[in-house]
Amino acid sequence: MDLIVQVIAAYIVTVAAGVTLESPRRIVYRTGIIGAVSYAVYLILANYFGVGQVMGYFISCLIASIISQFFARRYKTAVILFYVPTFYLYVPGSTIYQMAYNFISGQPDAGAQSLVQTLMIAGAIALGIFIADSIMTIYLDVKNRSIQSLTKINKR
Amino acid sequence: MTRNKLIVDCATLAGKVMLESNAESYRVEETILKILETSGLNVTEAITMTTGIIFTLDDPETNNPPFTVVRRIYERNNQLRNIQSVNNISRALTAGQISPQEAYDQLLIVEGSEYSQGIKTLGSMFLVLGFTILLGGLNLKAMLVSLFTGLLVGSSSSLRNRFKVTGFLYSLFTTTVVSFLVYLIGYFIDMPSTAINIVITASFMPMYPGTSLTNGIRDTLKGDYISGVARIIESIVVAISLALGVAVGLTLYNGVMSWI
Repeated sequence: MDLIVQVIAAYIVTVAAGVTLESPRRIVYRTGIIGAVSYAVYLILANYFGVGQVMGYFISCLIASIISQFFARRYKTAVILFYVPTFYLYVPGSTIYQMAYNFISGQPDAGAQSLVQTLMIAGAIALGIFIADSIMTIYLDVKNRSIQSLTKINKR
Repeated sequence: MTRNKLIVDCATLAGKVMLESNAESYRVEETILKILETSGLNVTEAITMTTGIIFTLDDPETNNPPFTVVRRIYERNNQLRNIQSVNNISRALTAGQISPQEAYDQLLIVEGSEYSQGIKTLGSMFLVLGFTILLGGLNLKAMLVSLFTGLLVGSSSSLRNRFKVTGFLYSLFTTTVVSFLVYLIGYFIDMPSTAINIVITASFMPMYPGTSLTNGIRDTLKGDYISGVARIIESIVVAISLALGVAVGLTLYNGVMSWI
C-alpha cells in the first residue's frame, strides 16, 4: 500500500516537473508513466531484493532511458523531453544539499560521505543514460546496415 | 540577403534558442551542422560550449570569405518546449519541407510559454508535495507546509524575471526566506524535526539543478569536456547556494527564537 502511494507520488513528481519545465501537454503525461514505472522497479528491487540505492538507481535509470528512447521515436520528439522530468526523481538533490550543509556547519566527515554518495548516484544515473544511448546507437547502426545489405541484394 | 546568409542566421537562432533552453551540447552542435549542410557547402564546423556557440560555414574552392558566428549565452533555463520546437523546425528545414526564409520566420517566434504562470505555480506545489511523500513525510502537517513552500518557490520564480538578479543571489535569497519560514511554522504547529528536514529538502527540488549535473556527466562521457565540466560546476555552485541559504535561515530562526 505504501509502495502504491510512492509510485503515485513518483508519477505526480514527474508530471509536475514536466509542467515547471514547460514540456508540451501531450508529452508530459506520458513522461509521468516512465517515472512511475522506473520508480516502481526501484522500489521492488530495494524492498524485496535488498538492492542498494546506487545499484537500484542505476537499473531504474537504465530502464527509464530505454523506455524514453522508444517513446521519443514513437512520439517524434527529442529524447531530452522524457529524460529531464524523469530524472528529477533520481538526481541526488538531497545528498548534494546535505553535503554542502555538512561542510558549512563544520562536519567535513559527514560532508565527505555525502559527497561520495552524490558522486556515486550521479555516476549511476549518467551510466544508465549512456548505456541506453549506446544501445540505441548500435541498434540503429545494425538496422541501417541490414537495410543497406538487403537493398544491395535486391539490386542484383 | 543571400541564401547562405539566411541559413547561417537560421543556425545562429536555432543554436541560441536551444542553448538558452538548456539542451545538450551535442544536440545543439548536430542541429547547427545539419542546418548548415543544407547550403551544400563543404566546410561546416560548430563548437558549442555551455556559455557560447562558435560555428563557421566555408567553401574553400571559391574566394568568398567564410561565415563565422560567435554568440555568448548568458543564462540557461530549462524550456523543453523550445527544444522540441527548434528540433521540429530544423528537421523540416533539412528535409526540404520548408525554405530557409520560412524556417527563420518560425524560429523568431518559437520562444513562448506552454502553460500559464498559475499552472506552473500549481506544478511547483505538486512537485514539492510529491517529493515530501517520496522522502517519507506522509503526515498531514508536512504535506500542507510543503504545499505552502511550493507556492512560495513557484511564485518567486516569476519575481526573478522582474528583478533580474543572478542565479546565485536568487537561490540564496529564496532558500533563506523559505527555510526560515518553514522552521518558524514548524515550531508553531509542532512538527517533529525529521519532518521539518524532509519538507526543507523537498522545497528546493524545483530549484535544484539536478539536470545540469546529469547533463554535465553525460556531456563529459561523450567527450565534450568543456561543456561537461561547466555544467557540473554550475550545479555545484547552485547546490552550495541552496545549502548556504538553509544555513542562514536556520541561523536567523535561532536568533529570533532566542530573542523571543
